[in-house]
Order: sequence, then C-alpha cells, then structure tokens
Amino acid sequence: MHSDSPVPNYDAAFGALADPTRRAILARLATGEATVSELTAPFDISQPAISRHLKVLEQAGLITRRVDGARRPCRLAGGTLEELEAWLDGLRRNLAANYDRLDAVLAAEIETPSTPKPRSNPKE
Amino acid sequence: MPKPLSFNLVDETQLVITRDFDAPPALVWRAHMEPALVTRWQNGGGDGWSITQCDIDARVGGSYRMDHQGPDGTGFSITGTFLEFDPPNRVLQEEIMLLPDPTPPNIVETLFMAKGDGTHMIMTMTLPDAETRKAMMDTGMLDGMELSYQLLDGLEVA
Repeated sequence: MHSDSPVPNYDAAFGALADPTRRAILARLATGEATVSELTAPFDISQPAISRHLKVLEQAGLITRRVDGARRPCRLAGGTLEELEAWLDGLRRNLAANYDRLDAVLAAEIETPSTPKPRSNPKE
Repeated sequence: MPKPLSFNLVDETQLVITRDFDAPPALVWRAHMEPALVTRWQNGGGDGWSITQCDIDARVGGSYRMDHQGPDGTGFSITGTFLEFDPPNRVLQEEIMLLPDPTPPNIVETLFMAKGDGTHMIMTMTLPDAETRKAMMDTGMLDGMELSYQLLDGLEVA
C-alpha cells in the first residue's frame, strides 16, 4: 500500500466518471445489481444510450456484468472504485494535513504576530 | 478539530478545493505569500520532508519557487508566476512542478473571502486537458501518498 505498488491505470476510470449520467448509474448500482432496463428507467435517456454508458463503465473496470439467462445484470466492480477512492483520499489527506498545519500557523500568528524574526524557535 | 476540506473534480479539467480558516483573509493571504510563514505549513509535517528553498516574489508577474526534499534526498519543486494579484482576496497563478521534468501548466485561482471573522477559500485548478489533470494528480499522488502515509504513521486523526 505504499507508492512502490504500480499505480493502476486510472485514465479510463476518471474518463468514465467525468460523465454525470455514468456517475448516477454508479450511484444506482451502489444500492445493488441492476439490469439495463432497470437502469434506464430513472433516466431520460434511451436504452441504447445507457448501454453505451455501461460499456464505458465496464471497460473502465468500474462495473462488471454477468449473464443470467437473457439478462445481463450489472454490478459495481468493487476494486477500481475503491482504489480510486483510496487514491483520491490520499491526495485529500495530504492537502488536509497541510491546511491543518496552516490553521496552527494562523492561530499562532493571531496570538503573537510575527514581525520579521530570527529563525530560532519562538516558542516560549 | 480540523476543518473539513472539500476536494472535487469538476468537468474534465478542473479540481476545486475549498476550506475555511479561523483568520481573516489578510492573514491567510500572508500565510500563502511570506516564505517564513509558508514554510511552516507546507513542509510535509516534519516527517522527513523539508522545504530547502522558498522564494516568493509576491506581485503581478512575480515568480515563486519552492524546493521540497524528502528523507532519501530526492525531491521536487513547485514553481510558478503570479498572473493576477488582488491582495488579500484573489490571486491567479500559473504553476509548474519540476519532478524534475516540468509538468504542463496548472492555472490556479485562489479566492480568500471574508466569512464572519474568518476566511472561506476556494481554490480552482485548471489543467490544459483531462489527461493532464490525471497526470498531475498521479504525480501529486505519488508524493502525496508518500507524505500522507508517513503523516498517518504519526497521526491518529479520524
């Protein structure tokens, strides 16, 4: 889980996630498996259009489809989304840590404003 | 209690970060512009990373450079130019990271807006295209992962 593991290819996944309909499809699938027609119902989009979105999501590794008779239900493909999330989370955490430190700097400055000061530690 | 950071991918090429601070815009601005203050918070958390050089020519057309060095001696630099400057509320800058190869330019608009006694910051990064955004986040992530995992070792924050 360190950065020595190869960075998965997120290009396709981010491309897939850039579209609001596809994000909505993923949100729907987060509640459970669904068929194309079930996924089409809430959207004002044709079934072939939904199918194209599903193909993009599938190729990005975000969903998987299985054969169930004539149906091909879709479900979230846990791994990619989780990796994506972990990846974004790391970035977010890093930024958050920076800004948490900024809070401390701001608080210290409000307490005792720094005039141009020598660099030795000012803590008393 | 750390304040929440929002971090959102917008459209194909943007990344928007928002954060509130318990300090007025004038002070938050200084903390972004004065090397003595900047290096106190953009320092990787004392986890072995340090800022070995920080120069900021805080004016329109001025440039800046910050060299980050990791515990193993490797590092990266953040460089840029201020395109528009409206202290203490808005700055537009073009940022390029040296990894050491230069990354495509990242246009960063930062707004520091007064909110009560504090500041609401909205930072919008705009990359040339979706691929570049991705690539930037990849590199940011490699450094970020490194840093954040090291930070996590020393932190117990939910």
